[in-house]
Amino acid sequence: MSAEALPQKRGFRTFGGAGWTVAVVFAFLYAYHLWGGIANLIGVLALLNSVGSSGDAVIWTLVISYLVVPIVVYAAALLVGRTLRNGERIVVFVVGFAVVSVLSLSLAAV
Amino acid sequence: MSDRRDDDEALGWAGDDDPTLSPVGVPETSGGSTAPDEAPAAAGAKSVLDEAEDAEDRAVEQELADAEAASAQLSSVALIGLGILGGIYLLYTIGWVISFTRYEVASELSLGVFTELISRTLAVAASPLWFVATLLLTQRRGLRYRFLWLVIGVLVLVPWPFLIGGK
Repeated sequence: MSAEALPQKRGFRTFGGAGWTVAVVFAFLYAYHLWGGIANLIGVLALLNSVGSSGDAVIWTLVISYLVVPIVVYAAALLVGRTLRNGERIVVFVVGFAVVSVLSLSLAAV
Repeated sequence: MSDRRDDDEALGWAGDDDPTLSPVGVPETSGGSTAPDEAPAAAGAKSVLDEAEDAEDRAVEQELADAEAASAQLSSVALIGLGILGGIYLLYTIGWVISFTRYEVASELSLGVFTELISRTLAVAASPLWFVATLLLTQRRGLRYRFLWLVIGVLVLVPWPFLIGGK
């Protein structure tokens, strides 16, 4: 009813080349955050090894969440953008990118 | 035809038809016994025309109401809700800005500092971005979607670094 020229059912099949291009470009941008999470994980592992402890549950939860946040937000952005136009998908990915920063900083602050 | 009488009353003063007020020389017959018989007849004759006009007016009014509904003025409750949520987003943004200013930039700029600054700038931008993006993207959807996404944003974007008091 709202989308006149658009197909009724929209999903990943209607992404098209442009849609997937957007998704891949943003995948690289989000991957930047993911590397940060991996680097953090390696750093924490090295630190724990040097201290000789195995760390407690809180630390592991934080480290793993820090690592997983970009993946989760990317997946969410992809899902939300599924039914939208391409330009709107870009908006969703941009907002998601900022949200990754928000969540990462929040986790780092805990 | 009480309407007509009401209309007439609106145009006159109480006691206008007091016979003592009738000017000299005006025949009294017009207000006499013939009037009650004539008035309904005249009203009936007019009412066909009036009815047509009224119907036309109602149609126009209906059209206008439909057009107004289509241009979707927000109800006052929705407007207040949006205002409150907008205020929360504004507070969040301020919280993130404060947390940004708490970050002490190291004297020598390294890549780590640079990326940290980018990350914190993005965090400041996140709340307004979410708010504006939600308003833009939910335009074609219902009001319910708009509020749902705004509430999700309120839950996601809490400025923890500011609330906890760390950097």
